[in-house]
Amino acid sequence: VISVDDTNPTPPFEQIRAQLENQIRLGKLTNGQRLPTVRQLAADLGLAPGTVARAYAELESEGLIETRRGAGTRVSLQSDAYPEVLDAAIEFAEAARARDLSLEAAILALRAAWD
Amino acid sequence: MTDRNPMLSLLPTLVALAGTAIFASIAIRTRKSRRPTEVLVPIEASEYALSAVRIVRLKILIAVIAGILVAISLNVAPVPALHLGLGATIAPGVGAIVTCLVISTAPLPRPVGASTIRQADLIPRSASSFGPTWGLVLPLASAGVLVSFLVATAVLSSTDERGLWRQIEQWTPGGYEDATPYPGWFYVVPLLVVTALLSLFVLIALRRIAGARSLGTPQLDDFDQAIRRSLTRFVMLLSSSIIVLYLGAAAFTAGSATRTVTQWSKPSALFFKQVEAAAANGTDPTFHVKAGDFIHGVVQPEYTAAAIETTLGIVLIGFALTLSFLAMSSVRIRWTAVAPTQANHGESVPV
Repeated sequence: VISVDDTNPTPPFEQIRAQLENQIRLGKLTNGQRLPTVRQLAADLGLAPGTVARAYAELESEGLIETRRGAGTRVSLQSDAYPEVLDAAIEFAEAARARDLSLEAAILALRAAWD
Repeated sequence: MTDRNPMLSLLPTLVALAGTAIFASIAIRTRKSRRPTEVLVPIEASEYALSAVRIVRLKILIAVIAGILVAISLNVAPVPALHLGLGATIAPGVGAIVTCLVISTAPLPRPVGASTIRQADLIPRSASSFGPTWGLVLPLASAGVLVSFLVATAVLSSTDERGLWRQIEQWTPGGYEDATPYPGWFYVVPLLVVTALLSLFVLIALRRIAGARSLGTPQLDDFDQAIRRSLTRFVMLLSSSIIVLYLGAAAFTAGSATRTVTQWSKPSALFFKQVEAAAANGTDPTFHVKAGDFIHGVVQPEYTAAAIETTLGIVLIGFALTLSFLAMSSVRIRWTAVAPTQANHGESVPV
């Protein structure tokens, strides 16, 4: 799932690009996984198709996705994130949320554990 | 007109038999998938769900009424005597196309008061995403059988006294017999065009249903998908019913005409003796025709094949009507209002 926040000063195309990049790099979107069409994503997010197309174009120029005629848009990067680290991170995030910790507080906790 | 290969004459019956067997097997296999599953809707969105279901039902009602009106108009529209019957031939298909067009229009409105954060699923949706497997098999199989049947009957057709390919001829011991109407090229070409257009508009409708914007909140994802499944099922059942109706009507018409041309009668030897005797005696050769003056027969196996074809036509028309009924009754979206935690794994999103 990705979201666009109308109150966020970051332009919508950048919000989409950043979230997709995160999900690809973290391995949530796997190599070869098909993404929704520009039209579908634009309709669901209530945006102009050009906005989503721009986000896709930037991701394509970064080599994260590729679009082929007839095959649609697919993730083209094998994430180097370890799945078990990602699972542990999700577990950690859920534990932090359950205790009403803010993201910043959770990062501080992680940093403390890291050091 | 020359004698046909008997196998060629039996081809339409064999196609109709194969089609009926395919439809029966699909119907038996899909009996269990008719009951829609119940979806959970957060209690604060129940008012929206109620109005959304009403909108979907109204849309389908408008689509069906528009289709019926167009079909009736084509049936009653004045046409030149030469083209009599063409309007009625294409009416069901054009009506179904209009229904698909209406279904393809405006998506559901989003819930009022939705959050400023809009969310989208990253799972691609396509025309085949929301229908059951049989949903695509049935219209495709119906269209395939219909096209094969129509081409088979068209190849067997011949021209009538006006030079139009809409009759069938048969050589019998009693001479040439002919009968019309028969699904020859005169009816088959418009039917093939309508079938192709219907397939195209069904595909457009399915793509529009799948591609329509989502309701914008994960809490209503299941409800959103239930609506898409319901509309997809309606379009698939309706299009299949029209194609099967065409097949049934064509099989009935072809079977009836073939039965007529495969029955013959000719004067008996006794009849000719009576004529000769009357001529020799110099008496009036007119006499009353009695039983036994003529002998009757049928051309086999074409006659039996035609009887089977007529029966299959009636069965297929019945099947088409059942599919239409199922299409109308498929617009059922079963939902229950629940607390937000039950609706979406504990996440609460304003709707």
